[in-house]
Amino acid sequence: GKSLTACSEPSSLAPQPGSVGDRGRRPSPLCEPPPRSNQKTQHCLALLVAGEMSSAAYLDTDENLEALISRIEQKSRKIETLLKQSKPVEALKTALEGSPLKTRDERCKSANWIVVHRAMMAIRDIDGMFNSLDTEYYDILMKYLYRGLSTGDRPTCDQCLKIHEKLTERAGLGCILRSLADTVNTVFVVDKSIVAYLQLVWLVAS
Amino acid sequence: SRPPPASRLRRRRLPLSLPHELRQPAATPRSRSTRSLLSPSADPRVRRPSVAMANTLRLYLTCIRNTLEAAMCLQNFPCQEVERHNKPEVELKTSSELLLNPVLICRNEAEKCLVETSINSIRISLKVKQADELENILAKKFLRFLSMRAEAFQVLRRKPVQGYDISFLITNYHCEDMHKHKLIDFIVQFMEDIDKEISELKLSVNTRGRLVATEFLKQFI
Repeated sequence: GKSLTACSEPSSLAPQPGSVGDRGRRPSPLCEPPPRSNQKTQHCLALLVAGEMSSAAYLDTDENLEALISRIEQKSRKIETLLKQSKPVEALKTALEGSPLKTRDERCKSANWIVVHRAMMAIRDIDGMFNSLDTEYYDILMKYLYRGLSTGDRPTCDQCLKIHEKLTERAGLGCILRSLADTVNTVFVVDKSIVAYLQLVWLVAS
Repeated sequence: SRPPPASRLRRRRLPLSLPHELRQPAATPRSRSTRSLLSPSADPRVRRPSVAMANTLRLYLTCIRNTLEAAMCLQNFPCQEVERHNKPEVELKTSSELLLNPVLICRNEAEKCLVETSINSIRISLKVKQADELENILAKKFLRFLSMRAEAFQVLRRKPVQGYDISFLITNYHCEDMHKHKLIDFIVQFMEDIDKEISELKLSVNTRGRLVATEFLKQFI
């Protein structure tokens, strides 16, 4: 059979922050910080190293999730402060940094989405925002734009459509394709159970 | 007359070693990877919206157009489960590694577009605006009329995806036979025209109803 194409590899068109292709650079603020170390986490880490626990399960341990939730709450307070100081672009940067992309917990992803949504809706001058937003934020912003467009809420969709137009002009079609192709670092939980059910149906039918 | 000189009769032969410029392959046309290095503002594939469209509709259609431009990168991929079969993976969803993230683009609560992509096929499902019961009935009948003639459209699906009014299925074979930008133009133009068509149908139904009622009630005057 034919080998799998690059479209199944996460973000194959650009080096991920902290990856092998990203040599000699300091860790990007967009990366998730490592989970806090305590006795239970160290036990989980030992299981991970021994191969008895998957990396996804390790990231979804209770301690790591609680740490993520508390970090998102701190981020939310910081964003409210920045918005009161009329710094919406800084608020959006803070919201996008440290997004829980690798975890499979819907609570963390939803909590971060609420924070990003708050910052995104406060943006009035979109061209001015892109003049001061670094290019490393474009990919994660595009993922959150598609999450916003899927909500169906009229003001959110209007804002997301305006930002999407400008972001596509700035970042190009590659940014859209990376958000479609990256099935590992997502901003929402991809429902694999539907895929498994359809596989079972096909096997029974055949 | 004098016979032609022998040199002109001799067949011209190429030199045994070709000049360097002939041995090099011909300059390839600008490839996709090169085009992708263009700045996005210079990239002709990124569509600039026209001024005439209403603003939200313009933004909605531009978003769909740009998403389809990026997502419609299809190639032939035989079925991994059954040998000598070639199936659109977006329909079967048997292998998750062949599927990209599905994207839902909503204009408002009533209008949305679902774009599902896989390695060899893309499915676009549309939910059109239906303000009242009459538009609901007209849209259902009109789109059913089109779906029954799906073979004539080639890229139309016979049955829409659950929760949507009409669906398109574009495979790598369609992309080989037809221009990609033309396919996208067709989808976007379809979305614009379907709203106008349903509005015209509603207007004609209301006009006919008024005329019939006027004529019928005249006998009681």
